[in-house]
Amino acid sequence: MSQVISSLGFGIVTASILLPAAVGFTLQFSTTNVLNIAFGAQMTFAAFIAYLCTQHGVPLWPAMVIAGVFGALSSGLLNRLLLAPFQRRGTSFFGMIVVTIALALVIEYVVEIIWGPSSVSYPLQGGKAVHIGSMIFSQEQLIVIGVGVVIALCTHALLRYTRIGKAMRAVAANPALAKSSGIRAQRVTDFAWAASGLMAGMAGVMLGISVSSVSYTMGDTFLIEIIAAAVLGGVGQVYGAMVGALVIGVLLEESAIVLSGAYAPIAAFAVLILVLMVRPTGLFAGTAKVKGIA
Amino acid sequence: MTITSQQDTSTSLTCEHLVAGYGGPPVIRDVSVRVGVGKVAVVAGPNGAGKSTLVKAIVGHLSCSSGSVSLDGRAIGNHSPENIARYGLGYVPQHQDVFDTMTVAENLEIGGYLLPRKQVPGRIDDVFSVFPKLAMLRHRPVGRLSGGERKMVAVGRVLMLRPKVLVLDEPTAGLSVSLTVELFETHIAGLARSGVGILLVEQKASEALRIADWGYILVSGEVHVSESAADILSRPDLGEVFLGGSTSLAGSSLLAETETDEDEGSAP
Ligand SMILES: Nc1ncnc2c1ncn2[C@@H]1O[C@H](COP(=O)(O)OP(=O)(O)O)[C@@H](O)[C@H]1O
Ligand SMILES: [Mg+2]
Repeated sequence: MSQVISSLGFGIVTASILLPAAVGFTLQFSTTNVLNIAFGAQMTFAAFIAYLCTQHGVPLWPAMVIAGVFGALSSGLLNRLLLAPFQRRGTSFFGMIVVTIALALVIEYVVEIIWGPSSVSYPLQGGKAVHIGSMIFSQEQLIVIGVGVVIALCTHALLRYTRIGKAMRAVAANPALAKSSGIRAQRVTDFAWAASGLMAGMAGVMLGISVSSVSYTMGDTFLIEIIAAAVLGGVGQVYGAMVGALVIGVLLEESAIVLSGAYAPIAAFAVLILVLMVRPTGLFAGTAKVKGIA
Repeated sequence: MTITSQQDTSTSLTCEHLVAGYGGPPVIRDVSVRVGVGKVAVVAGPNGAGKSTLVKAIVGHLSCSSGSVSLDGRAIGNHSPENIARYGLGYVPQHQDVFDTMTVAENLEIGGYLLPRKQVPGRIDDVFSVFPKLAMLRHRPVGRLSGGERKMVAVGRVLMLRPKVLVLDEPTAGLSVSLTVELFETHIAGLARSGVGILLVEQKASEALRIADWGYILVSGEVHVSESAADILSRPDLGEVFLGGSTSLAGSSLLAETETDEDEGSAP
């Protein structure tokens, strides 16, 4: 029993990393209809940018912010300069996936060329462990959880209460009508990609902290979990992605109790498949096939 | 197709010799329509005639391969839909005319996206005074409203910017007869009286023509008839074939194109 609870602690940490990642991934998909396979690579690149900063004496948390800003800028530019032109030329949904696969490979190779194939790690303080019941968190882990929660709250506020957030939802729900309402859809999707790049960057650093290593393939494995969380929540649903992240994060760590190490994800994905058999649209998508951020 | 002097008043929206399509052969060919200030022009015609294509070309969702569109004397042909909205041309599409995942109030806010922020609540109240029912539904996601309520949201959204010209693509599809009459006789006629030019697309146009000044009948992508609404209504040959109501179309040479299914026009 105490093992279940201590695994829950890990699960919460993993969920807190999955949360910005799945939300960012979902935002990209719902505003531009691009299923971005390079999302994991975006995380990886930003994680190495943070590493670069720490190497030059920048403390870890400011380095994470820098990585987030790097993620935001590069992601916004990526949409504007690479993906949007492809879409304007009428590249199909699957064509776009292939473009992002190629992009993922390019990013990973660039990272490998710059930082090499072996993994690196951030200078972690460790500090005093914090006990909450039988869950034990390092101070870094607590901050990771805090960042995950703050990102979720900010996303909610952005989408519900700001003009640009509502414009993002409008573009996600009905791009043509958004344009006919005077919304400059290209700027809005650039912003959405920048916001999701920020989340990718932060999540990349959070992942590097959580697993105490940063390698050029770290985003790949995590991408599977991101997609699982996004699908579980109902593809394109931001709030669904948040819940999906929680469920998948906790399930992944809990299943590590029974299944050792590398096999742990199996249980989580078994649950995912079961849920999808019962509710093909994911946990939270309505029965109606409405597209957009609900 | 010649354009007879439709309106003696100044013209708000003018399309001349428009040619547009979806990349293949053009769907509409040499189409010319006009809407005067405060006038209602109806575009009728069978399903698949190219009515929605014409409208999409006017509002910037399709590019025109030739011809011209102007609004209040400004050439707007092939401008972006974002800019065309800024110039004062409002558009209610045939399908997907609302933001399903957003509430009624949010749909109206998006409609007022170009307004100074402070004006938005006042304009929303104006829309609520036109469609009082929406006020009660303001926090309801539009995806959960009935067809008639959704159409009110769709029209309300476009009214937020107080357009000079309003283009409505089959706004009554799926509405009951009483809602149709209310939409035409109260709302659209009222907007026209306030000076808004209205281009109204209807497949079954006899109701619409009663509040219209001018009518066009589009067949296979070309304007076949361009006459005053009263004249069109008084022509029995047109009434049978184009203006709806009658299902006794057997034998008509245009039968193949005039089968009237309500929906399933174009995919966006
Ligand atoms: N997105 C599209 N791509 C290709 N062809 C289309 C598209 N939308 C409509 N069409 C074709 O254009 C023609 C006119 O359609 P449309 O303008 O929707 O007619 P209407 O609105 O008068 O019913 C039809 O033959 C239709 O098949
Ligand atoms: Mg149509």
